[in-house]
Amino acid sequence: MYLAIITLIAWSVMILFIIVPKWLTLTEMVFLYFIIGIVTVTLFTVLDMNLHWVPVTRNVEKSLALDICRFIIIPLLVIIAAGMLNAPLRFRWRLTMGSIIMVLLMANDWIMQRFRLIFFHHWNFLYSFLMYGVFIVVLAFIARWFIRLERGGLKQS
Amino acid sequence: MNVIHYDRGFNANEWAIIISIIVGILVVLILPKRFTKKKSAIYLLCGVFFGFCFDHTLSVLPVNYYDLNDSSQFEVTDFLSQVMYAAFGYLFFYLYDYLKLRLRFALVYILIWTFISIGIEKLYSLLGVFHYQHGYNIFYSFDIYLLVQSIFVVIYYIIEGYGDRQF
Repeated sequence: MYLAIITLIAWSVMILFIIVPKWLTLTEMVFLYFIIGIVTVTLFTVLDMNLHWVPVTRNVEKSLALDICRFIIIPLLVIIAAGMLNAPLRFRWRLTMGSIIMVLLMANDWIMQRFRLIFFHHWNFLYSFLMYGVFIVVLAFIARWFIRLERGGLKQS
Repeated sequence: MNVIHYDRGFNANEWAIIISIIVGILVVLILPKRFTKKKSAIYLLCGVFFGFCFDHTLSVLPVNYYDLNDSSQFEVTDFLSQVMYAAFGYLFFYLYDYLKLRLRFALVYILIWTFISIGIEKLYSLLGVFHYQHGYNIFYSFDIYLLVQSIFVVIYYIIEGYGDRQF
């Protein structure tokens, strides 16, 4: 059941991702996806195996559900947020959209904990909130740098 | 059941990773530029991302099919061992683009690269980078390389075809 619900959430996030304008090219989105994937996977492993602050489930079905969270739900939401923060919109709108994504990420964290995909030992939702906040801001800066990277670069023939 | 003997010191596996990264950086820098900066970044990250994906899925519980380097924990050398995939991934895309292969020869290209990857993985396992357990062996990696490198080819065509399109 957990897997089905997480898959449904992932599908909903994919629908949201397709619908919402991101103001990013496909290359920029793929780059951000790779960066987010690497950072997320590293954070999960360090918090689980090294620090034991956020142990993850050892159940096969739940592990699969957790992988869906790590590789679909979190990266797509963070890409939307990073795109929004770099969008040609008023600051107020960018902040509002970024905050909505933060709420969705926190809701996803709550669901992961509720379904016992992750366990908070030396961790709480405030830490998660701060972690996602810093993550999104840093990603927005990385996105801004990457968008401007091509200036002076090799032009594709 | 196999008992894994880890070498805790700074020796063959650490040196293999460091040398691989240095050689990889030199190869990427020396090769004539072929892609835009953005595409180069994507092709460099491709190998790293899929390395992280599989290593952090297959080498952790509940399956825990192998350990990397000197312990079951995630160490700096583990991180570097995944960073070293960057040059291999870049070379894969570089040669594919350089040879201007037609799509029908892609499967042959993937198979050749899979054999090369298996050879390199065997070398690294002898040097103590990979420690297989719970019935996992290099033949399973063969299937993973075929899958990952097939995804590489799909990514190549998507990036070359639609990379500059804004969404």
